[in-house]
Amino acid sequence: MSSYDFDFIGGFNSTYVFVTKHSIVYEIKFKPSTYIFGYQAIESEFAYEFVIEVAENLTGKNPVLDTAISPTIASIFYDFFKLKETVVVYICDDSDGKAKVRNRKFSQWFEQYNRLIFLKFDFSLGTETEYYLTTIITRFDNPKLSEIIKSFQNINNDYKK
Amino acid sequence: MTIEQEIAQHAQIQERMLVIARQMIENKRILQKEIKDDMKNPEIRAVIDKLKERNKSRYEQL
Repeated sequence: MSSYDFDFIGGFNSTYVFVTKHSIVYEIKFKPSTYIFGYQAIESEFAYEFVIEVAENLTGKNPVLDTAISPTIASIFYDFFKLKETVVVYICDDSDGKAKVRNRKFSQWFEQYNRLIFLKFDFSLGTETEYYLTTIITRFDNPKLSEIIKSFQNINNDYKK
Repeated sequence: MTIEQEIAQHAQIQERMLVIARQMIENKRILQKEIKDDMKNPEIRAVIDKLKERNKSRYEQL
C-alpha cells in the first residue's frame, strides 16, 4: 500500500504534515507532556500528547475514505518513535459528542499498520458522569513498559469500580 | 484499609485523573488552534505547496 510523502516541520511540538491526493492537509503534533505520569516520574521525560487534525480542506466536503492515510500515519510514528522509551497519549474530545467516532477512526488508522511494533492501550478516564476515551501508545521494547502499564492500570481499575 | 477509606482513596484518584484529562483536552484545543495558525505561516505553506506539487506529478502520472 502506498503512503503519502510527509514532512517534519519540527518545532517544540514536533509537527508533521502530509497532503492527500484530494489536497486535504493533515497535521500531526507531539507535545511534550511532563504531568501525565507525574512530574518526578522518569517516563515523563519521554511522554507526549498527540493530536492529528485536518488542517485544511478546500473541497467543501468531508474527507472520503483514503487507504493511503493509515500507512502514512504509520510512517510518521516510525519516524517519531526513534527512542524506545517514547510514550504517546491520545485523548478524544467529546464536546461535540463524537469522541467514540474519533477514537474508532484513529484505532482503524493506527492498528492496520502499527500493531507489530507498537502497543496500544485504551482507557476511560473519569467518573460515570464525566469520562474521556484515552489511548496510550508505546513501543514493544520500551524498558519502562511495566511502570507505564501500572500507572494507567490503577486509573482504569479505579474507574471500573 | 476500611471500605470507607478505600472509597475515599478511589474518589481522590478519580478526581486527580479528571484534572489530568481536562488538562489534556485543554492542551489538545491549544494544539488544534496552533494547527489552524500554522496554515497562515509562510514557511509551512511553502512545505505544503511542495507536497501538493509532488502529489500532482505523482497522481497525474497514474
